[in-house]
Amino acid sequence: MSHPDAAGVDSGHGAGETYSFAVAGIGIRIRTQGSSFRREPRRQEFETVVQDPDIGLRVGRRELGAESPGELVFDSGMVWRLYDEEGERVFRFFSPQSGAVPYKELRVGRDYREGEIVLHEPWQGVELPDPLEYPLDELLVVHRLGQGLGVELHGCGIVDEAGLGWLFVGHSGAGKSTLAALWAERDVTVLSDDRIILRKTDAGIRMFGTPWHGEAGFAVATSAPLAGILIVEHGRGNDIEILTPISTVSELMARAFVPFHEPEALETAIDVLGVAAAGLPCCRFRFTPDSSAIDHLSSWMRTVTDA
Amino acid sequence: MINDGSPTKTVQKKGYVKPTISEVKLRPEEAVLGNCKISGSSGPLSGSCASPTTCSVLGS
Repeated sequence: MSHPDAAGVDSGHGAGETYSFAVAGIGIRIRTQGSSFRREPRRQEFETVVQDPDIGLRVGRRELGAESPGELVFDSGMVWRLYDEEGERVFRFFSPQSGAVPYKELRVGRDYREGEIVLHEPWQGVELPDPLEYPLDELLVVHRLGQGLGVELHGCGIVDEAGLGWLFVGHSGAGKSTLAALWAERDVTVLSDDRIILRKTDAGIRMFGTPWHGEAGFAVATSAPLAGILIVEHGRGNDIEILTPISTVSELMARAFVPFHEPEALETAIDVLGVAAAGLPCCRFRFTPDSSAIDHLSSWMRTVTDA
Repeated sequence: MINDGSPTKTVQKKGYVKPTISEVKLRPEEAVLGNCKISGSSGPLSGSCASPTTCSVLGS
């Protein structure tokens, strides 16, 4: 019998592999049957031993068919579609090469806690691809968060020298990775330059780093209490505009990864973002991409924390 | 009603603020986690995200 090592990988001896990691306190464990598989390097920072997983998945290989399983719940218009089959959620993944037959499928319970990933047999080599290859890993976490646990945002997050978390939210091209790189030159920890998860705790809103980094490559498996939220945009100077809670929630919802086809996920997102917007300073930050932006922010953050 | 001579208390009403509509821009193609932004797709033979050399960036 083998045991998981510190990296959360159990090599096994012909009986398959166990691999586990955790994102925002959600422990995920997958087990294969008889084959090893590749693992995405960006998840390495998040690999850990998970004794009691929040999400447990088996991995198998067999031939998948082109026929749709059950009722279509959501079509991303791109690589994945979600179906409902007798109360079970079925994600199917397609590529131009696989045509009408999915190259992968995940069947999981409605609470997104237990299921099976099936890799379409004809497409796989000797070594299995990462069964949770993007975007499945992120989709799974986003859907599980929607079960009352939290919400993921398109944002960059930093932890200052006092241990407080500051969230910079923006669409692609808004400057999140630029800000992250500028912050990295100061005495802060950059949790992520592209994806941040917020969860409600007894002590307030907590923000977590994720593996799904942006161009600057920041992905740290830690968390911090959230102290402030800024919607970021490029500008002709550095300017901070205070937002009302309602405006903040509207702006955040437009930059959140919410599975809108799951009503509970929508309720969860509005709840978490509403609590954050009502209790924390929220602003729009227009900036120029140089160190003056960080000076401007640092000054504002001191004002907020000293108040 | 007896007037006790004390000044009349007036209730301060909030001024009417006309409701406004604010437009919030959505990016559905980003929100649905469609696929890898670098290779344009995921899966077999697509420059998979599993390979750090072909796709180390998901977007910003």
